[in-house]
Amino acid sequence: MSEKQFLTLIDQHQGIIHKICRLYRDTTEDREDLFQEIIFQLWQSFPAFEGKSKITSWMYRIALNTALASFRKKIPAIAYTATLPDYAEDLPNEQQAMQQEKLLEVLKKLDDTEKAIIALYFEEMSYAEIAAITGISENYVGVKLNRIKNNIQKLLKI
Amino acid sequence: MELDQFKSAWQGMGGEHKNTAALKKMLSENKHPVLKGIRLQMIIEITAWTFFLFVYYDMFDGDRRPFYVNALLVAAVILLVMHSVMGYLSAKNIVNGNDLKQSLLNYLSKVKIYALVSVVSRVCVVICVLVFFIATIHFTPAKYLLLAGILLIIPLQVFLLVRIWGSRIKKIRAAINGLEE
Repeated sequence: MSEKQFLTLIDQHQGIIHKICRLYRDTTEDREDLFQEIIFQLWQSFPAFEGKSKITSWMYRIALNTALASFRKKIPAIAYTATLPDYAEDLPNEQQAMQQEKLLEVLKKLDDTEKAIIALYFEEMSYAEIAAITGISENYVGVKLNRIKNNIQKLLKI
Repeated sequence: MELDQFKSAWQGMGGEHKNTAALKKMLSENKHPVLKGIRLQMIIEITAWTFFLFVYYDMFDGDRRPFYVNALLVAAVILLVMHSVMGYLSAKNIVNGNDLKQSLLNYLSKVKIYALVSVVSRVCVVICVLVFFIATIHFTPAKYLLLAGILLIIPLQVFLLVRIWGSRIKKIRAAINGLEE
């Protein structure tokens, strides 16, 4: 596939990358860096993508891999975006925004692998798909998900 | 909030939409946020050490020192340059497997080797530079004291490097442990 086709695919599914960035990074600058790094890693891995899995599964695998393995800059920074979102639809309404903030607040209390598994579950992926992305067995996906769900329930009660 | 609400909140989540022109820029190695910094450091280090190799023989009387001292110094500098290039390639190739667990395991092995090379090469360079400069010195108690002071740099440098790499390795290992059954 060509660079143009790759960019079209990424453009269509870039929401996945934004979600991973929001899940694993706290500052705007860190999220921008991770976003860029994920795009670069996707492009590097693209020739090896054989189309055996869904494009979204492949993107999740590379994005999670990058988020878990890349080293963050030590210096915290406050960054202000210079541009406005391209589309107005990107801005959630107030209630959605509050729900998303609450969701991120809870998810950020989980460890990195728990975040990965629950993100795939939230994306409506089957146990088989989650197992294929993470490299653990389907049974263990079930075990992990139960633990994570219980953990989330506990966190919500605090 | 219930899990179903969380699920729909997740699915509705996004970020500032990037157009294809902005995405295209991100494919370039030159725009990579981490690689850019590593590359700059690598270029400065390689240029400085190469310059040093060109001038040290005349400037610091390499011809008046034993051959093994010169050889050690050149070898240490080459090791340091190789370490820089290795670091760049390692940061560039994060994805190393068909699934998350395998990829992280492979990456951990690479990072461990790189961390070892990092510590060894830095220590080697300090020792070789010291050996080079003290090879023809006639020692007095004051000079021994000065040497002892300089030698203190080595454990300090090792401590700092081990701490940095230790925390990076710990982070990757924690992710792998989370995927262990």
